[in-house]
Amino acid sequence: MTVTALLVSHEGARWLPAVLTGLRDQQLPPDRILAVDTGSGTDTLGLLTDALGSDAVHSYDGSFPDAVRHALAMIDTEWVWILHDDANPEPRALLELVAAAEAHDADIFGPKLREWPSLRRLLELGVTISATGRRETGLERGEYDQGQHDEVRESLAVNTAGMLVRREVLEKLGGFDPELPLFATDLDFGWRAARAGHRTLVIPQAVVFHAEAGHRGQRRTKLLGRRTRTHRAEREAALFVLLANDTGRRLPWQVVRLMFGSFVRMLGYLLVRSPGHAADELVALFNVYSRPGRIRAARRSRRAAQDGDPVDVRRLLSPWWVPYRHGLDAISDLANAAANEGRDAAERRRAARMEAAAEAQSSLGAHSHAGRLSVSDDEDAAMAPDSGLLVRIVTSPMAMVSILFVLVSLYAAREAFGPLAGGALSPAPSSNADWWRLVTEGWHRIGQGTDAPEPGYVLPFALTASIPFFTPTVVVGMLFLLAVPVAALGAWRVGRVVSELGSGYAASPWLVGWAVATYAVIPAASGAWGQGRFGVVASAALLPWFAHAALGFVEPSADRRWRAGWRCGLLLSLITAFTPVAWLFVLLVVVAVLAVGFGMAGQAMRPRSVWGPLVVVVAAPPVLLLPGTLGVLGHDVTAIFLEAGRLASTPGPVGLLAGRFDDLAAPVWIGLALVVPAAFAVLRARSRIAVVVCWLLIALAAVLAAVLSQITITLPAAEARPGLGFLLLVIHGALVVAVLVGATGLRAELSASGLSWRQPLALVLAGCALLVPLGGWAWWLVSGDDELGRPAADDVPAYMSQVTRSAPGHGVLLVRGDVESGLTWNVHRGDGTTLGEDEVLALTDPDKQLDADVGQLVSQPTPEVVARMSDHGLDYVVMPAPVDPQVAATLDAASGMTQASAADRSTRAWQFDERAPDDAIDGEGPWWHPWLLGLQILAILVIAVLCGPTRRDRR
Amino acid sequence: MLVLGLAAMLLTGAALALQAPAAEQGVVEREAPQRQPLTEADVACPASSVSPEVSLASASTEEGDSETTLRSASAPAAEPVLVPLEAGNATRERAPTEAVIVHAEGATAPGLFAARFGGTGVTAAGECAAPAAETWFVGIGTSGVHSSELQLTNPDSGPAVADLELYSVDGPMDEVRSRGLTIAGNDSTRIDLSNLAPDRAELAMRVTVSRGRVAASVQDSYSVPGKKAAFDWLAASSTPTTSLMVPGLSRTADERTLVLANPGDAGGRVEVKITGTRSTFAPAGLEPIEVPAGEVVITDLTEQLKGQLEGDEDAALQLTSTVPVTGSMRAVVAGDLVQLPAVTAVSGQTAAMVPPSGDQALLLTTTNAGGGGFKVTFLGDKPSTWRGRLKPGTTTAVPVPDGTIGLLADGPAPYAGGVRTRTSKGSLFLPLRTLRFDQILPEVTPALPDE
Repeated sequence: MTVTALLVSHEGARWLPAVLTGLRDQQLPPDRILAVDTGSGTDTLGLLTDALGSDAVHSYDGSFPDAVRHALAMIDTEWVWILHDDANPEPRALLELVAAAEAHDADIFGPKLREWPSLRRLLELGVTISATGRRETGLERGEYDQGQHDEVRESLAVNTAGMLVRREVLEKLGGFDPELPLFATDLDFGWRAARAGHRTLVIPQAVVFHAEAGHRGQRRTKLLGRRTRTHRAEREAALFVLLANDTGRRLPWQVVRLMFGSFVRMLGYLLVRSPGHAADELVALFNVYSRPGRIRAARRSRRAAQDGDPVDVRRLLSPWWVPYRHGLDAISDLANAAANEGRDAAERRRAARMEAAAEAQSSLGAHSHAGRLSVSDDEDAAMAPDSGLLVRIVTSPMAMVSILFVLVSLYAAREAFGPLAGGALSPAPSSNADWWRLVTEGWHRIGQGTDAPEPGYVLPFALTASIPFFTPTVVVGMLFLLAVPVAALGAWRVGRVVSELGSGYAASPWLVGWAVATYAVIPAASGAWGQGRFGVVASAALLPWFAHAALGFVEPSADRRWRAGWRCGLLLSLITAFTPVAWLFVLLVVVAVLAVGFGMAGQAMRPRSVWGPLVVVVAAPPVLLLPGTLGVLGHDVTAIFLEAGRLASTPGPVGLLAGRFDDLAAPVWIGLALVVPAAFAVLRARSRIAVVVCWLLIALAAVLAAVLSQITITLPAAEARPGLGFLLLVIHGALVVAVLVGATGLRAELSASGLSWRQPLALVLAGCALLVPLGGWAWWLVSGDDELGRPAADDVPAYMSQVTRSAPGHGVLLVRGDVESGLTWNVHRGDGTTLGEDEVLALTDPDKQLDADVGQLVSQPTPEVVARMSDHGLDYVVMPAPVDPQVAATLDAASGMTQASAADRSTRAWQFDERAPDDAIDGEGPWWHPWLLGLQILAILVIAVLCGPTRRDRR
Repeated sequence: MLVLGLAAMLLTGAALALQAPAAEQGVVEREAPQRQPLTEADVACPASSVSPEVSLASASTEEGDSETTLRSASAPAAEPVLVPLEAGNATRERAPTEAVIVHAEGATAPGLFAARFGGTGVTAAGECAAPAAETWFVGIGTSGVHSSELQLTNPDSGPAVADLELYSVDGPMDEVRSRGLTIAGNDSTRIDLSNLAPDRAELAMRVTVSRGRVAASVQDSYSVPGKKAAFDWLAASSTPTTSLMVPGLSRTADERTLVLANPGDAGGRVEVKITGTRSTFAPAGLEPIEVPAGEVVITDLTEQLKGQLEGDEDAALQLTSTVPVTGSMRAVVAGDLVQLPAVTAVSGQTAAMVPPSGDQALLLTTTNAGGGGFKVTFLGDKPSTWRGRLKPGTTTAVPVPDGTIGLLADGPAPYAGGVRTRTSKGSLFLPLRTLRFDQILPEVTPALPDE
């Protein structure tokens, strides 16, 4: 049998010398060598003519399929061995292929492709295509060739690099499809051959090394243009192959499946921050689907080339489940990356600590102390690597203390096992649909109907409550149960880093433990927990995590700084949703940092990756909380600085410093005890910078509090003041950090120096510092006065609640007070005012007409006024005890309404004779609300993706 | 660096010093409620088997149209009869013998008051009560010698519900089930109290209205041993308070019994003083009266007061209590029963009806708090006025001209009083009452969401 080696080259000067050598070294030399060059420069052509002589080298300006077809006319041998300019055959390659061709009844043979230049890794042993268009080799990525796949087997297709094909088959099938110039050419050819009844065999004994230059984008081609959009071309080709070759019966299904599959892949690429790939995916789909004529023509030509019934090739295609396995792999890869991120950070810190320790050791020389620089943590030392988890927990004192801590905090917060309400906390709605309605609807059908914006925290609440088996009640309960442990965990993480960074000593677990205990009890000891200030409680839990994320700004890597920016932005948005003053405070801090930074080290601040992340942090909340930030414009703008929940009193100056909201809080002097050691911490020179930074933060918070406390927010129903809860947290948190940094490594320093006034002073300060967590926890566990409780039975009788729940148009007018000191009214709809609705109602301008009508109803009810009540969407009037006799008598005597029964004898109720229409309070929300909502969701998705861990394995 | 740290601390201190103090959120400043003249008023007169007449008056100074009607409170609703009453005037009209509802609209509505008189030679006086949320009657009884009947009238078209609470000398009578008495619209109900709490000599009763509007009055009959039973209406006493007056004590009486009721949860003591024509003094030998929680206390003052009141002096009792109490005094004068309710002293305008016959005088008693120039306007066929200066802590008798139907008193200092009438058959007393001229227009505001 005769063989022609056909070498197709294109700008392959980098690999050609080796390929030509390989060709020359063949133990069974081909009968003829023909080279076709598709428009290379002179160096490639020169190499070819030098090696093969000018007769054997042809230039043809066209794609690979065209070049092959062009060369085919000049070939008269029985077989054609196709080689690429980046495919280097082993000396025995052709010998083995020809031997196989003689031994087996098949028309196409392929070698084993190994990676070039590594030479050891397997690339392909025959390929097939999955139903989603993925090129399937059946190999693991980077699998080493250890002879594990060395048997001859049938395959759908083999790579054109090293393919030995019978010339007449090549001619009969019309060569390679010119529609597929670069990618999937081999797959298409193999598929067509298989349908025509030709067998394709992989001969592992023949080895060709392949550089995959086109696939890796190492080769510039005219077809792909300057920017090689490899991925797009690959996808386009894959889609084309599938649509052109699949059986007609499966085609419609395939069309739909590929479209959805492409969208899913696109989302996947977006999630791993590869917008380029995602765009490629979309463009490829568009390119293929927008030209159905191309597919039709391709199918027609394939049908024409077919003589006789096509052979069923399904057994050669990859199994149906393969794409799903790939999807699963991708997800687990992502999860691993996220998990590794934390470990990476810990390892980087450990390494840095080692380095710092070594440095300190050398600089301090003989004065170093053995205990001070013990790098390995106690907990790590206790954890022998081979012991079981339980053993590790039981033998680690830190783990035992942590578990005890969580159990104690759960016990102290046990009231939250169950529905909770009281103080600033309204009862949770009975169904999560209420929260979703608040988020998605621009017109809220509460009160008399309103377009006031919903508070920002409703969206995270609704998202959390959407988890299966979660309800709004569970979400609120979890917030109050887990706030302290979550705050503690965050404080533990940030405390260890800060104490090391601030003092230069290794963090002491017991000191950080003190800081954790002190900080974590703030939500409870401040009274925020007991007063139902869930906004402050949530912010207290999130603040240490925010601080931990903010430490990423001092990372040397720009990518990590950006990551820190996005993460801080997301966390700050969440905190801002609960305590909006947080945004203002961080804005001031960022402005101050940028001002100082540019003022003192302008050059270092110049790169965008230094100041950009800081700007991201303050820019994120307004965008992520979009409907709220713009929706408030129609109302008093300062109202965005109201804390989450019902209006609650603001702390005074002493309370702010001591971390106490007036009543129902631990004694103020316990909180103030922390100020003394924090102030003295400034005296220690070694940790002074960190302590001063803490005090600057405190000063900034105090100034902001002083300014905000003078602001009055004019709500339609009353006047209010901005919530200062976040500033209270910042001040107390900064005090804790100042003491922590000031105390880290102090014991070793003091015990080394001679006895003086410093030791007794340190002892007194330590006593002060210890008092704060001990007093706080003791108060929470023992006294623990709070306003929380089970949601109280409503003043509205049950049968009325049924009516109000039936449609938003049905409401109950609740009138309270007496004629002498004034009456107040509000409207009960649905479940009554639930969590998330307080802020909306507080921002809503009261219905002037209804206000006037209610005023007339309780003093001189005319039939007209009574008739108007049903237009206002009111079915009942309820006057809870104590009932004002004059009003009750007036309503009793009014016509058009009848007395109704109430569960409680001291409560009076009346029913209007005319029933309110279901749509009494329907209205139109602002037209831009859905757009803002869409933007908000998009922004959240984008920032969530940007927060994700950095992928290492970029191609 | 150290300087920066200290500066930050000082700045913190300064900022904290400038911070506004802790503040409650959402505090709403409320304005005083507005007032406007009444546009409608009702009073309900008790049934009287002997008197077909009702005395009506309006102390109104309003001008404009008015319409005053009389109708009997009985279902089916009787046709209202128009009454020629003018604002600022009084009249006597024939009326059905059942309970009667007087309804005024327009100018006569502010300051509407009425009464009906009965008994042979007019020895009984029944005020027509305005609907009230809470009414106290002290000194009712359900024994053979002393029995009482409660009349509840609902002037509105819808049903009304009233609750009764009874207090006896043994404490509150919780066992008496008298909650939720329903009175149909435009109807009146009579309740014989002996059916509720039989065989009790002295009771105090609180009538509260839980639904609608109800006017309450009590008819009392008392048998003086050896004489035939006398009846009188029992005027309502003040709601419990710590400072009370019992005006209208006559010089002579066969029997004087002070009945005090303490509905509270704490016991207390009541000091009794007498305000005569010249001064206020504590009667010799009268110890402060102990009033245990929830109990009715009866004190026979016949002997104690006998020597204290000289000549034809008119006097009043001043009661000062450590806990809120209410009470009344029952006197038997010339064989006739006189009920003197304990009232609170008020300043400003008050009014009382005058019986059609008898020897009448208006008694005005000032408190030690002050006196001043008083004015009395007599309404009737020949309107006239009386002006005089009253000293603090004294009782003054003002003669009532003949033909007077009603009178209005006006004074700058707290005072109490009433019209005392003596006839050959006995005596009767009608206390001065404050009138409702205004309607309070409550300030109505939307509630904060968390209320």
